[in-house]
Amino acid sequence: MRLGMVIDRKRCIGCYSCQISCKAAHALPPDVFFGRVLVSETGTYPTVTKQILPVLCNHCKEAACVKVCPTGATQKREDGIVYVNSEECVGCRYCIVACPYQMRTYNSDGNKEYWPGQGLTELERVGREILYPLEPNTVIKCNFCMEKLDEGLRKGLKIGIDREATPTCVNACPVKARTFGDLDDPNSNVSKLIKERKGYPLHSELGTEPSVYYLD
Amino acid sequence: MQNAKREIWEDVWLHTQCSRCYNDCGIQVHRVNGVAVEIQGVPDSTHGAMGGLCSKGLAGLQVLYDPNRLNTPLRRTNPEKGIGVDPKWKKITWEEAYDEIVPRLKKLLEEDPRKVSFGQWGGGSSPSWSTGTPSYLSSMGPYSGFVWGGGLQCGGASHPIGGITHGSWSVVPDFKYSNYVLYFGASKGHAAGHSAMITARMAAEARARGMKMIVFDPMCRVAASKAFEWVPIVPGTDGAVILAMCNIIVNELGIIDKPFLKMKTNAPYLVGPDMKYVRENGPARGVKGHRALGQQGENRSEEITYIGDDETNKPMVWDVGEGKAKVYDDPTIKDYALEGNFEYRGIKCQPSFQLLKEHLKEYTTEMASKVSSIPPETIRRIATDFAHEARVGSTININGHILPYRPVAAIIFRGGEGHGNAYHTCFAVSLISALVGAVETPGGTTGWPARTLGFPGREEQDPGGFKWSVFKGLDGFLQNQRFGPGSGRSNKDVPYHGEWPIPYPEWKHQPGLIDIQPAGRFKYIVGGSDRDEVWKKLGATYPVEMMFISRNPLMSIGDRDALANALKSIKFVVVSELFNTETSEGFADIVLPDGCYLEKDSWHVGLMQNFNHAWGMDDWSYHITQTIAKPTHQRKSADEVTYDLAVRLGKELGRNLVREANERFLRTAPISKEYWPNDLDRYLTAAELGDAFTKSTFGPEHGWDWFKKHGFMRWPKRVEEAYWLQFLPMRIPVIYLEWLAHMKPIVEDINQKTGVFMDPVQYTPLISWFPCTIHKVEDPEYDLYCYSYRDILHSSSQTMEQPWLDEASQMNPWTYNITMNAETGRKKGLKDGDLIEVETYLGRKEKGTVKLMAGHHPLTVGISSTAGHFAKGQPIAFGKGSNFNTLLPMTFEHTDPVAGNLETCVRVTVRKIDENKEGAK
Repeated sequence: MRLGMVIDRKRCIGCYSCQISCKAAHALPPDVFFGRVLVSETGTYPTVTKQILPVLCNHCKEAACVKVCPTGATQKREDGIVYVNSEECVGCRYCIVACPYQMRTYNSDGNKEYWPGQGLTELERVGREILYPLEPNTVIKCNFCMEKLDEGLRKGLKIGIDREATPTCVNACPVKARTFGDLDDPNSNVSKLIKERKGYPLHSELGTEPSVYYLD
Repeated sequence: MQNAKREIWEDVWLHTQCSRCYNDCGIQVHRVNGVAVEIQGVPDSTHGAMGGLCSKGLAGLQVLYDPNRLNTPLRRTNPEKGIGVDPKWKKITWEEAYDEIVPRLKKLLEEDPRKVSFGQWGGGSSPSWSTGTPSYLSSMGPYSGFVWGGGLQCGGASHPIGGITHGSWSVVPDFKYSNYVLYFGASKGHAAGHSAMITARMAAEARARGMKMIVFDPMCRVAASKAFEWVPIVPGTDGAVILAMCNIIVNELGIIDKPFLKMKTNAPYLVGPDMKYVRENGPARGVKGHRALGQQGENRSEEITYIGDDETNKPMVWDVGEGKAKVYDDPTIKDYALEGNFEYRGIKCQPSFQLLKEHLKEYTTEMASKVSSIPPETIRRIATDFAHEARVGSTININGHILPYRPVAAIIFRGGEGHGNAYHTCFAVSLISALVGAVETPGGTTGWPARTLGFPGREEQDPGGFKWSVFKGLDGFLQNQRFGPGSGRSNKDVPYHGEWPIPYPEWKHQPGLIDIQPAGRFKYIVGGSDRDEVWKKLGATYPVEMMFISRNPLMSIGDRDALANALKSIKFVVVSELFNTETSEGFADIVLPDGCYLEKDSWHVGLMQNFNHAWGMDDWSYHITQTIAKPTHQRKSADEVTYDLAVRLGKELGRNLVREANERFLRTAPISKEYWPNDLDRYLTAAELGDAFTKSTFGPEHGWDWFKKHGFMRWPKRVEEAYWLQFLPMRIPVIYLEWLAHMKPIVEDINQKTGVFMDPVQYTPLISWFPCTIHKVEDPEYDLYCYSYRDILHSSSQTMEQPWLDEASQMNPWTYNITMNAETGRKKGLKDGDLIEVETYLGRKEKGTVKLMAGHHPLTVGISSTAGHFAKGQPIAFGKGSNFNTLLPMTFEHTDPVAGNLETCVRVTVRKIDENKEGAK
């Protein structure tokens, strides 16, 4: 099994729901993003295309971050998820340098407030203490909501089909631009979409073999 | 992971409704240990994105927990008012606040009820209209209801015209079946605007299916970026382009839906030399009616006369079969004439369609191209594709019903509409769909479903809570039973928003201008810089001395200095808000801490036709709002405040205002008497009223507790509900705007007597395009058209205070920048990040950083949303972006002369300024 995501750019409207739902679900501090939306444009007037590109950790098959981690904190699971075991992470940040997609963040200040100088709100406190505690001074990143997937599997739910076994950003997308499933299964939702719509990963030339594909 | 995890004593998901914009999507909120920590959509409900949710909705948690929320009532101690003046707030108790408010309220209501304005009160600082307040307000007596706030820029023309042509406030393509759709300055389907999440999911499915969108817009924004084709256009010229396309369709291609025009429009109605319908027994005598004078729930109305006539004097048509004139709905008519010259009672006459056909010849492709900057071949190609894609004559079988299949649509909203030619431009958009029969039929242009037959199995018991319809009204035209914001209030007797029927203009010295411009409701006048001059001409006075408001008009309408003067002129201003705003800090005497949408119950919100219901055959859904977090500190919703006022005022006046309000609630929802609570002399909570409503509408087993647990009810829509026009006998008067011929001489007379100028040229029944003030600026220095646009991250003026939205706003190139065409910018010596000043031809100025874009019409400048905040009460929003609205002239000249809506574009010049000298924002 190799879990992966397909993002349909024809459906995507650049609403930032993926980015913000992720921030809420993981109670992420200010300036930390596991997923982002990149916006630009190509072409010259009047033949212009607005480019909207939602990005997140690519959970690469040949993950540069795994290779450079000196403590083994960054690992790849059998289902293809690349994650950081924060107990092993010493915060050396080699992985941040190694990741060609700039998808890793050093969590330096777990007490940074959303409203500067006004203290942590209940939302931030409960989020950081209960909902999704983050280890300070470690590197953090998207892990395809693996805690949620594992819990869903324990309940007998189907990954990428049942909402409780599907990453938050996939559920939050109002235009169903995201699909999540097993890339190794040629009959899975993601494999079919990639085949039918000629899905492509970002920067395939780097040889990292990402597990996030895009459709135009 | 940290080891010191706190004990978890609660971990639940609860159903409620979002209220970050007016769409009220169903949501689920994750509550852990009493704290709401996550929001998501509702997968099984059609009221929303079916699981997804927009970023504004997701960020609602940061409204609930913003440390800058107001927590106690505040009293201004600095008698000086104005922009940037320190109010020197003093915290007071609720009783102290009421002691300030109630005696003033009593005195003014007794002197003259018009001295009190409840213009836009309540709603928890969200634009959600359907709060419980109107009933209590009504019980307190008549009052003024002038609209303040961003609504002034909203669909002043498109809403009434949506009502006239679709029985709906908002209009979109029938996404499930449309194949080719034209967008004119509209963002529907792209996470903004009416029913934003419903349209987002439906439009995405349509795109995936292959629907082609042709987007006419000066800017390549979200809708244009998703389009099959982006067509850059000069602002305010949409009408010329649409009419040129209509000309091609009618006079060159001849592809029209004759059965539709004959049976469903006024195309066959005969018109005489006086431009009016030829009627059975002589000229129209008018029909008496009543008009509500306020916005919501007001019980004061005035007598008016509608243009048209009763059943004894119907408009005539020509029956080709018998070669004689007959009343339009004569059952013996064999075939309606659409063209030709006829005579009835000695009056020479022609079908409306004949007049339109000739008139359209003025709109050559070359003329439209010249004003709009769109190449003529593009206009010609799109018109031709539209006509062919309409598949006139084809049918589709939906659940056994064979209906006309017209998979083309055309829609407009503020970008295309917000100009001095709004009324005609909106009708032009309706016309192009009507010509090919693509109105309220599968694949065509559709409104929110304007007809419900009731919850299955409860059709007979439901007194109307979920049973409403459009009907055949005056002169055979579509009339709405329920329209505009408000809950279950019937609009059958009191048309609300200038939809059909339309009254004669009358000069009644009214400050709201609705007397002289009855075709549209929203007027700029109260905040106008020329208001005193206009009122003097009209012999009108602005009576308001005390205002209750929950909006931020200073930032959200236009010329800030004019608005400041208007706010300053009101002696006592009471604001109910979540945060202090530019308006409250500058002008409020009392500020009351409101509860937000996650801190209250409501059964009203889901009841409207507007915003709640998906288009076409998508199921109906009805949601309730339930409290997720109890209000803390001294926060109290405006609903409860209005109740408190009613109790105290009732004592003063010796009346039981609470009982009066409760009865009005129960009657207008409406709720079956068997479910009315016994004791009507006390505050009925939203849960109690909601219990009565839900049992009355959905059956006794579906009370409030059922809804609290399940969140919503969903049931299938019938074909007769979704495509009601195909099942009901009414027509739509979209071919010929006959009523304008009746209005014209009256308007000319008012112009002459008062000295105001409503351009009578626009009072023509033939749908036309007119240049506006923005096209008439001659000074070459003011070479650019400046406008604002909806940002996908923002809604109204309070979304910039949420940090998650702020972060995203800073990551995109648009929200906090002023944008313009890259080549134009380079010619002016500008580069990305330069500090620039935008100055209008009338001298108003705003500063900001520039972002040059390829996807921008070379003649235009864009400023996003309502940014540029400076209220101390919203530190996240403070100092970010630029405020477009303050550039807008607020004068009579800059309005549409028929609907009265504000021109929302302005001619400007742009210059680079020295950051060190001028000071960056």
